Amino acid sequence: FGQSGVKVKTRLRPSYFQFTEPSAELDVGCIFCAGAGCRTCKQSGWIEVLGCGMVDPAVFGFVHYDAERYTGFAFGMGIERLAMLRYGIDDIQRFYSGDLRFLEQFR
Amino acid sequence: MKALVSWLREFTEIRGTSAELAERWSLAGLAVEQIAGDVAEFDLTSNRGDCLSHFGLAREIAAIAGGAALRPAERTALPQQAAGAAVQILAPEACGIYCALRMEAVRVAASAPAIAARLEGLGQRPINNIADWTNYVLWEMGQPTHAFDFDRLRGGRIEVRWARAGERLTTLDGVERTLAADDLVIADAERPVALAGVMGGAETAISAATKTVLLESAWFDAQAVRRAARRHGLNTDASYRFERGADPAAAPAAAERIARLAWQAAQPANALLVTEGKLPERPAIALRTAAIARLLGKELSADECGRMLTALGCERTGDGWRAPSWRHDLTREIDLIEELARLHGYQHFPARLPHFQGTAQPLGEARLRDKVRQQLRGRGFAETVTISFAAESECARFAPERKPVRVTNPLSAEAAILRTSSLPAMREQLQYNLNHGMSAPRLFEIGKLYEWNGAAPGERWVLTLGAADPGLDYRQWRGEVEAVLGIFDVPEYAAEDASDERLDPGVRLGGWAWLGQHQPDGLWLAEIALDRLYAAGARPIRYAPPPRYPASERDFSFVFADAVTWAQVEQALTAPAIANLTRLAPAEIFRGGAVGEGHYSLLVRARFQSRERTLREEEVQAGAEEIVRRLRGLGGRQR
Repeated sequence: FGQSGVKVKTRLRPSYFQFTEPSAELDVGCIFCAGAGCRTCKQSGWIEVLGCGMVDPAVFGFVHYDAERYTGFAFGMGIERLAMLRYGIDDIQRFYSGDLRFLEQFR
Repeated sequence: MKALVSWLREFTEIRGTSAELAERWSLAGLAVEQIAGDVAEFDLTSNRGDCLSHFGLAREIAAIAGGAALRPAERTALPQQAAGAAVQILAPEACGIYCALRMEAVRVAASAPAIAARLEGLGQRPINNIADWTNYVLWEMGQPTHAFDFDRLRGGRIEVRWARAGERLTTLDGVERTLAADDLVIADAERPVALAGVMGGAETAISAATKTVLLESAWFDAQAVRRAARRHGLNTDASYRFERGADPAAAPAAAERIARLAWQAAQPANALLVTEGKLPERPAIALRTAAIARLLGKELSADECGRMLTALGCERTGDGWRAPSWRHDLTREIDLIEELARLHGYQHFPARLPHFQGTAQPLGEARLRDKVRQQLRGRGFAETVTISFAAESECARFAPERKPVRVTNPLSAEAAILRTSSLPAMREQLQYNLNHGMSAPRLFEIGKLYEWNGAAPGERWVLTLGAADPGLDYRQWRGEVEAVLGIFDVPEYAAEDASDERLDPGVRLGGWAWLGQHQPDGLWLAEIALDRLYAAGARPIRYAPPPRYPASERDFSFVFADAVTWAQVEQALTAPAIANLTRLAPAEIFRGGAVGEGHYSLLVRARFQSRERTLREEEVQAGAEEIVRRLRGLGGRQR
């Protein structure tokens, strides 16, 4: 977001996933209501964009990595979701419709 | 999880505006969706079953506040007696503790207004005083309890046991269920009376006629409850909490809480019968200072760590810590480290980029893929993405020889396999565009095809082209495909007529592409083996200086039978090579008129050129005669 010059607030807060520990989620300030609260952000003013965390040592165990030697981090975000937030796209189905009126806007 | 802030305040001090509270709690890991008036909506993670109640949330809020004071709700201390024969746990590993509270001379009536109001505030429906106490305590303490009509329990006793396969139970929702041998049940002397931790039975439920109540407050194993709930398709507030790990210490506490509520309604309870099974163990957890610094990248003082863990209810034991009975999710050092990080505050860790040794590796395909995109975009195609799940019948039409990879739990028949052909989806998208008024859509997709190769599923890249345009003809469409092939180092291939009921005209270009016009809708389609093209690599530029000496061109006009193809003509004229013949092309073709039926007239243009010198007229003439001879050899008649 920084590179494209769009100003947006972010926050990293604790969360839970079975394969990361500690876990976190990154929220961006809701672009639809500028943080005031609306339906899209369920009135919270924030939209989750990515889940992440330190790789849980048990996961290292499954693949025979020594958790005492290695640490890791993992993160994932829906790329369509990010594009939707960046461009204000209203429906995720549009990405798979092949609709030229949609595709040709992203030259 | 919905909660009333006023109810939370009963247990711990809460100060701040709704926005401040939402921010403070969310940043500590207790995610708040919103606080509107007295109603707070929390987005709890699945590992925090201990927060599924007002007291649980208050406990967490107090911990976040650094170990603030916590005031549990009032309970009536009751003398605990061993239950003896009255309550027997025959499945001790699945029921860690069973508390039974007997209440006599009960008057089933409407609930006290305060209780009804709080339940309504949560969107719950008040039923009667007894049922509402159990519901109230569930929302207050997170401990599910159940009230039985004691006089309807045969033999006046309770067994916690595994069902016998085939036993029947009609639950409170009126559904008669057949039980399996690994369903955990509460039974009386003769039959099951409740699905343990899930739902009570209809026959022993509280009614207006109930005189004596047996109140159950127990701890059931999460797996046992989950199994029974899934098998019978049930999801209750009770099963939800047991599945996420209930607090064994809350079982007797909840019974005493209900006793208190009953006393306030002038319905005293007498003794509390307690039977123990096998409670889960809470081992000591070692916590190494070095591990904290290693994982978090910051040192936390032993004092601060001690304070935070104590605030969470952990107890020091020897060198380590023991988690409180309500935290099933804290079993390892890493779990404690996460607690330290979140209570310290993620925002208080300085952000650093990890240092990285090594270089980025280029993906060989990426450049080639971009070239393909460039070509096609330049040719007016838009890139699209289609879904990889497909209907078997549609793929089988285009690729009957490919064995599909099946989806175990497909969402629908249209998504039952991973696609063996990308053409059905391309057709659909072209049609979509036509239906929405786009006049000449051209689309391409770089995607994957999936197929069983022997023992395992395989996937490979495929390039799919599609166009709908009445102005397009076969040669132009083939030109689009060959423009893409031209990017790669593709050896010579033969073009085979593959016209059939699917694509007509249709052609296969070696094993590189299958293209043609789909019938009956007239859509132009092409499936190109992109994986093979990537493997072939980019077409290298092989420089040759432009020829120094002039060329001579000769035209030959011949009539051939329809059966003679251009491929055969080309083959005849190039193998063996004719000296100095550098170019051969079909310049014109026509039928009808003077050309008889079953025949066509072909104008072949030949170019003669040498790299060493200007060719003499006799040399060119010799070549031309050779061409004529060979074309006659194919049965051609010169015009």
